Amino acid sequence: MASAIAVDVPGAPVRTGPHRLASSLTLCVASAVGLVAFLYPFLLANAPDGGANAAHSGDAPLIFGALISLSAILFLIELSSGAMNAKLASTLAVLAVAAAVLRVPRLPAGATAFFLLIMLAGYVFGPRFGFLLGALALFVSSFVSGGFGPWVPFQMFASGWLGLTSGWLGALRPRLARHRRAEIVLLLCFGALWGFAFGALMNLWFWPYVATGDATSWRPGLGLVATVRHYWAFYLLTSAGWDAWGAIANVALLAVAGRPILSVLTRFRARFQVDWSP
Amino acid sequence: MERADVVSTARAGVAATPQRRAEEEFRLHPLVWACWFVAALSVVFLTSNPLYAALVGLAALCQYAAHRPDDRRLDYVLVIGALFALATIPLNLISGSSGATQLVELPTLTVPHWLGGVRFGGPVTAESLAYAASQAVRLSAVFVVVWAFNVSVDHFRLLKYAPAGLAQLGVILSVGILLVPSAIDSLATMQEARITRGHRGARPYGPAGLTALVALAIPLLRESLERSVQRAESLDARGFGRLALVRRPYESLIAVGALAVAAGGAFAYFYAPMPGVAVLVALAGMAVLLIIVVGQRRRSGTVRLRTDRFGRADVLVVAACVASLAIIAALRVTGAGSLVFLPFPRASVPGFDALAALACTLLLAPLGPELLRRPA
Repeated sequence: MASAIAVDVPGAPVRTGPHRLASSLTLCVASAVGLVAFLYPFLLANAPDGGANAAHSGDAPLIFGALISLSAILFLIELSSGAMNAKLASTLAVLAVAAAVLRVPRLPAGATAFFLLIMLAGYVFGPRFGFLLGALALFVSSFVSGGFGPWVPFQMFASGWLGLTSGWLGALRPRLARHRRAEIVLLLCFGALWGFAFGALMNLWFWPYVATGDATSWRPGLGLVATVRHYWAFYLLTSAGWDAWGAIANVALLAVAGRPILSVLTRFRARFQVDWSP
Repeated sequence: MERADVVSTARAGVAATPQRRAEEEFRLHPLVWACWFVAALSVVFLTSNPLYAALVGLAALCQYAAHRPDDRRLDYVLVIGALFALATIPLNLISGSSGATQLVELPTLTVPHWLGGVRFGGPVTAESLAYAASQAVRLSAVFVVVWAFNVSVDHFRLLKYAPAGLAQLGVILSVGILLVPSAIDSLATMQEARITRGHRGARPYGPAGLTALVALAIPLLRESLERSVQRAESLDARGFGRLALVRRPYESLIAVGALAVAAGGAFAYFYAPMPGVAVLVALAGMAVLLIIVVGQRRRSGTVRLRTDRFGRADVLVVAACVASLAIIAALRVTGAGSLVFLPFPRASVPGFDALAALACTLLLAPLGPELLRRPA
């Protein structure tokens, strides 16, 4: 996974030797810990069940919240360290602020246009750029709106992953260059999927804390199947309806604005690849 | 002017009137607020007793009231947060209850099998009601703590203390924000062009209609990216990136090793028979990682202007926060202080312990300098 992030955008610094090894290892471990901190309800499903562990379940949000904050810091430091290409840095700046601004107007049922630019820019500029854009845009927007809370590191990871996966999708770009309709359809499906996935991921950080009903609650040692069932019930009850609106908003915005934005971004990417020789 | 005056003028950035100086003296350091935030949140997460959570929530509410901004919208956000917390009670009750004391029986609804076959409704017990209500109290306490922190701290001053490794991202962020005014200008230019072309209702700095928005969005994006490339060329000319922190491979390896150890400790807490040792391992890993990240600052070579001073009031508030968290953590480890509230199998009144209550009350500490600042 680390190599998929590290070997990326044109003009990014190329590292060699121990630096490269340390960097890849850091990206790997930090992203794995971030993922673990998200999915801990499922990973602790086989913990020994008992009286002490029932009391421990309350500590889980605190422990894994601290863990994800630290891995987010480490991951961002590693991803942005080294001399970044100025053109790329500047483009990242503009897109991050634009995406953050797009989060302000609320569409029906709390959906926003926040993901539009992140998906498209990740798709064009690659996974490393996509992750940085997603995380940075979210940070700016929560900063501006003052909504700074324990959820911010989780949201940064989730929207970073959105950019990262759009970058992976972008690996298909050269092949899709001649099939523009297929490209848009692919992006629409991707946007619809992430509309639900973002909600499902973001519920996880507070799920163990909020749910107490028998069919929806969590405790360590519940068993994997039961945990998935309980989470599914919780998701249906609380989040599925809202996420559907998010998915619809993603699809509609991509259908309307996807093509023109994509052509603007592709043009700028091409400009980064210009090589001047004397 | 005396030397102290010069220093305080430089710090305040304006003429040092006595009142301004007094304000400076009692304004808390941004890191103190971060410390309070972490302590208050940790205390709420560490106890499931609604009484203590309510105490922390009240302390945060006092904090919020002291710093309440003129912007009344934040009040509504707080009310919405409380309503959201209350809404989890019925949500939890319809998703199944256990316990001895049945209150009512709700009609059941089963989701179709292909959607998971989950059953909602059924009997509602007093135990479930008590537990759901206690969780709602904790949730609203978290919410109040977050909002009190957000209105009290100066985010931009706090951001100065971000780790040095993130300085590059900080530069990128400020470049992005600096480009906003020019984006607004180019929007106005485009609107003027639309007026010239005879589009009705277009005004240079006025709100754009929906059609105008669609027509303007793409050119605006293109224009902004164009400007950003120009900005990048000037950044290149000024040697952007030369100041980037020189990182050492072994440092990254230690940092990531510490993170892995912390994660291992977190899992061992649930799987190993000795949770105390596991917590210590996790905390040690996190501490090593923090030391490395903070230690990079010394070599970063960036210049810091108008640094905040860590005064006596700051030390006292930090001490109170640390004491509060330490007391709660110690009670948690020893199992004393009735921190855990579990109304099953039969509903009970949550216990109350004076020491734990005192620990929660210590979180009122930031109000002290606040009261001193105000003229009587």
